[in-house]
Amino acid sequence: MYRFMRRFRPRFGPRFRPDEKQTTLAQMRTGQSGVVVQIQGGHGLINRLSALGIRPGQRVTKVSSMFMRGPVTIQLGNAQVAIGFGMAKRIIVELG
Amino acid sequence: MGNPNVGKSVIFSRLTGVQVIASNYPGTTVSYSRGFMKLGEETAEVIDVPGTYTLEPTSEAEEIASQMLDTGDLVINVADATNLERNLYLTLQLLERNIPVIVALNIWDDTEHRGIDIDLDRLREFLGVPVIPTVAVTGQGIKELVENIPKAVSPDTPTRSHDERWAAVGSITDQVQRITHRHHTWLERLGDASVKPLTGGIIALAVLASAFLVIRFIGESLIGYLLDPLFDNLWAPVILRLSDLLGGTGFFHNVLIGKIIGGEVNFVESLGLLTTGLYVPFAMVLPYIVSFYLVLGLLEDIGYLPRLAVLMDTIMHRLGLHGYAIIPTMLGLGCNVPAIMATRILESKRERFIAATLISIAIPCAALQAMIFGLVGQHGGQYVAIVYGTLFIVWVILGIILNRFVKGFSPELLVEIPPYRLPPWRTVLQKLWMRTYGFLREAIPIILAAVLVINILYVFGIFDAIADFTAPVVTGLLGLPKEAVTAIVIGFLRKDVALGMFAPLALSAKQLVVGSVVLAMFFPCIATFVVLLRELGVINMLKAAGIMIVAALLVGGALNLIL
Repeated sequence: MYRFMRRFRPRFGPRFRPDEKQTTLAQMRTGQSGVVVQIQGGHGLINRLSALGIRPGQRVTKVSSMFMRGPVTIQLGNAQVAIGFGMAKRIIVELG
Repeated sequence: MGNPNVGKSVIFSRLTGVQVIASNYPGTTVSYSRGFMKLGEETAEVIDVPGTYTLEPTSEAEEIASQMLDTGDLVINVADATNLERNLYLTLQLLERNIPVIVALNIWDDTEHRGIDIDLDRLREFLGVPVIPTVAVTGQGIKELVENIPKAVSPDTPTRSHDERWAAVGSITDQVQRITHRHHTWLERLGDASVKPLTGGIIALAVLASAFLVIRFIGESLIGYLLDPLFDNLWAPVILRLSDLLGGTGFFHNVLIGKIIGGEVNFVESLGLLTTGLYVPFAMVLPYIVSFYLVLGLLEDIGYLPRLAVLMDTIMHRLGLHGYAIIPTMLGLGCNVPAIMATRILESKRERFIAATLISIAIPCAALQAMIFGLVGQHGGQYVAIVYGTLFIVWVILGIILNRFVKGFSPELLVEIPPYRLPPWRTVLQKLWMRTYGFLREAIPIILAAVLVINILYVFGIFDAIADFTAPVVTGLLGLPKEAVTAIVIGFLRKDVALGMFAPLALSAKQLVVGSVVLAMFFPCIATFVVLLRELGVINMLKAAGIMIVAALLVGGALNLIL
């Protein structure tokens, strides 16, 4: 599993370093909301997420996260979506 | 066609009168159903297609959906009015294809209290096709939908790129939809609480425990107060009269009635078509089928199952699956056949193989469970608990082993969580009826056939030959009398009848536990076998079957040693 995750880490550019306002969906606290600014992943991931309406420009609110790197549940518009932790780590959100 | 969980199947039902299973979670429909509707003078074929978010498919069910598009003459695009933006993406994709479209804007009744105001006329203008607001569960708007089908058109829409399409969707929703702020309802609060670690865990335990208690209560009440009295007081005298008429012995007597011991009918042990053949399905299994599917139907329609998937996700990852696999697993507690079909909601081949194998080995169906409660339960609840405990441990350990050794990868959970809805009674009862009727139609012929086969094999002494041949394994390894192998053979037809065959053998409680576990794990019944073969293919089916036989013998042998 670890090897698999490494393979899908973006190959170019620095790893994501959060500034004051940006964070990942995984690191966000429950109840915080923000706007998706970037999805760090290949076409497959971007397409799967955007089909569910998760794409840059979309406002999201974190509803919950399970412990032990469990899935993150977010609210977008009137829908709720549960996202695996690994994917949530690659969704960059600007808080506010 | 439309997004998952927008009510396509309910609309399909309304249009054609064909009953299909509909629930409140994405992925209820995994294959397509066909039906016919009257359209003026003509009859039109209607196809219910699995839900998809996009025409660039990401799972097998979605792939079926986009293939079906090429075979149709007209698309009824069902969209969720409470999630206009995301639903319009698929609508725009459909409009770009060269096929007439009509939009049914479903769940319209929910827009008002969610503070959503949609300008239908402007939406029609933007899309260039008819848009009809509907409430499928109550039937509102269905007539208008049918009347407007002839007006469906394929407007001239430019083919857009991904981003252009989202931009178009955004500008349309901005102009037709107004959202006013509103307070959270208690259902929404409860929904949020069910996916938080602490409250979610408590809610899950409460839901599962009360589900179990309600199922047992309804099942036992039906047996104790309705079906047992019926069989004992009304049917038994009829059987005794018939037995006299047939002379009390002979081949026909044995096949129809079986053995009458001491002038009394033993419905479980007599093994006749009119005694055991009717008693097992109607008085032992049916009550639990009814109570199980009533509770499952409620959980499905409320929308609880996807939340259970979120809670179970971390655990399921250790088994090489993700949380959503809990839904086929729960279905498997009813019947393994729809459960294995439902593994189509999982994305990768690896997950589907693991899920299907685990379900067919470690998840006993309602019919088998009813018999376990009926027979093993007589010796005390702790023995039933051992059977369930063993199967659960097998489920976990086998999952961990498969996760290590099966090649391929398992993707992560990504699923929409539907809002909690108060279950519409009509659909709950309709679904209960469909599933109960399905059990009666499919199980009873096989149960009767199984009883008949048992009698014929006895007459020709074939069972004795098999029993002698397998005695080393059955007696030596599992500690069961050699005749017990007959039950394992019949288990290939129906596991409920098979477990019933242990009854005349006067097994000890320990032997019954070993027998029940081996029977549950050993080999799928014929219906499950066929669906495994179809869903997995020959090679993977053989692999799964091999795993089952080895695991059943290992676990059975181990139980024999430990207990």
